[in-house]
Amino acid sequence: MNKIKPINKIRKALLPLLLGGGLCLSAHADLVVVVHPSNPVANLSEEEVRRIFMGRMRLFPQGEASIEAVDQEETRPEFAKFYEAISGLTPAKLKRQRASYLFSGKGRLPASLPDDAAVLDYVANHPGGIGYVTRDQIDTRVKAVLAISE
Amino acid sequence: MKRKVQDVQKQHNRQPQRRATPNFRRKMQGVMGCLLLATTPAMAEVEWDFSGFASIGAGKLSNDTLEFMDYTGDEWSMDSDSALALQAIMQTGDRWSVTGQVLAKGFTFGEYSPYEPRLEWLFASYELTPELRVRGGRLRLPYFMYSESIEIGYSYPWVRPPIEMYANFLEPFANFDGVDLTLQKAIGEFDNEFKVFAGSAEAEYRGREVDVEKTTGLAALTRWNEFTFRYCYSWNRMSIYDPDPDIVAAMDGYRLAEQFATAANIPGAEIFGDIADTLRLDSKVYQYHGFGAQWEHGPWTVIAEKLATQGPGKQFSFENDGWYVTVAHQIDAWMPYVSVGEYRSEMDPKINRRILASYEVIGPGIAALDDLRTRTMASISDLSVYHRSTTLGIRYDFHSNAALKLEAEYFSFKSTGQMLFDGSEEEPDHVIATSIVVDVVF
Repeated sequence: MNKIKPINKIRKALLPLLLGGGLCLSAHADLVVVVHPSNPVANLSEEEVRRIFMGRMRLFPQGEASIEAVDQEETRPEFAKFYEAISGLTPAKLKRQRASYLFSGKGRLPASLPDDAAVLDYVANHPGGIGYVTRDQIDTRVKAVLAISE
Repeated sequence: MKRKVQDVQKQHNRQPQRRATPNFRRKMQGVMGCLLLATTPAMAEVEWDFSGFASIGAGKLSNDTLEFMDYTGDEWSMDSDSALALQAIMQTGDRWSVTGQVLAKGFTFGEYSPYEPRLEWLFASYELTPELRVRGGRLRLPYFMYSESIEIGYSYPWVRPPIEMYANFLEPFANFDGVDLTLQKAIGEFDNEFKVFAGSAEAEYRGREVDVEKTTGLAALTRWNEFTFRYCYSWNRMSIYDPDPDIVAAMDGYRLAEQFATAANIPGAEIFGDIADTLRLDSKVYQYHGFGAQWEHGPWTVIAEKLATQGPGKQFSFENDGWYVTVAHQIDAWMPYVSVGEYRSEMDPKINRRILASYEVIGPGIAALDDLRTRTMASISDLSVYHRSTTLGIRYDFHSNAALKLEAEYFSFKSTGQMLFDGSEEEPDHVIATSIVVDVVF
């Protein structure tokens, strides 16, 4: 992991230059949903991912391990893009729905992590972990189960 | 009679009495049992989540002879829409979780003093399968679309959910102690949720003791594209005890009339006993039906709900109907909304018919009995309520965790119903309630 990070940093710095427009890489690359490699789940449908992150499913469909979902922070473009793709709700509506969910005895919201690297670390270390990261950040410590394109 | 009833109600509102119910200890033992059960296998990996929400509101009426919660026409008051809640969720890696939420509200129709903390949720939850979950402890009855988030102002457009549906008299049915079982099952494009529940509840409502000995029911919800539909049915065996001295005196009066008529060998004497019975509710069944639909289309939100209750048709029996439709439109951080609704509550007409029929048993002439009958009929017609409302409001999300709402609600009514009238002059036929609230989640 220590080897990967610096490379990513360099790529992150270089790519926008290469693209020539000062584009923010993370806002435009596709997202992938990742789980722990030991998870028997081979892939998840968008529907299943929606149910997991909207709190309507708490055990993985295969193996029935407890789901430990993690979010990126709300201010991150990954967060906005992910929830727009899976829920179709505007940010304001999503915020209201999540508040309602949290306080109405349905369960916890996914824990919030600062960036892709933190999500990868978490999922790599938790057999029940599931998160979403920018596609080109993915490494071999996790398993991709769904690609979310724009 | 009505005025006195209201006076008593107000005293109860202002000086709520804590009731030490005999069932309370037993129930708490049950809850603690659930908790122990839940914490025993929790030794593996325990995660805690702490969070909370709060609302601070103020409101005023356009008419100073009315009272709506603690809002009056005299001055801005600040309790009715203010609340603070703290929540903890303990989750273990092995399908168990325990949730507790303590809520302090500025105003209730029940036995709680303003801002007295009460247990809103305390339950253990277990995931039986990826689709099936069981919960036990103190839960909320799923009567409405927003039942479970009724207190969380931040989660809905309005200052408070429309009272045509979220009627004051249903407050005793907010929480129950029992179990529920929830099935989350997608069928094709429909994302479904089925819930069954059973338990009991005890609460006070405007000084009356409401004992829901047994409540059971189901709630079904389906999400399909931008639409959500929901239905809830509930069956309640319940008793209501009204300690109002006027009611107690009236019941005694009719019993006395029955004894007198029986002793005098007047045929049909038992009708007075039947009338006395209509002033109480003793282990009878009330049923509830609630329908809801919601449409989320881009910036648009449309919410509609309808309720219908059915009384036992015996004793103190009334029926309620209510509905509302809300349309809201999000423009950046602003969300203007408009809402219309209607509410009707009718006493069983048999009660009045029985009183009229009693004149054939003992005709007019005994002043005390005539007065009693006239007053009972008047108070029963006062309990039949009809109102309509139109609400204009705007929500402004000025922070990612906070919203400000401003709302004006125009009520027109035949009987002031869910508002209290002080009886000082002629009963008004409309009122405007203005309120402002800030809702936060943290």
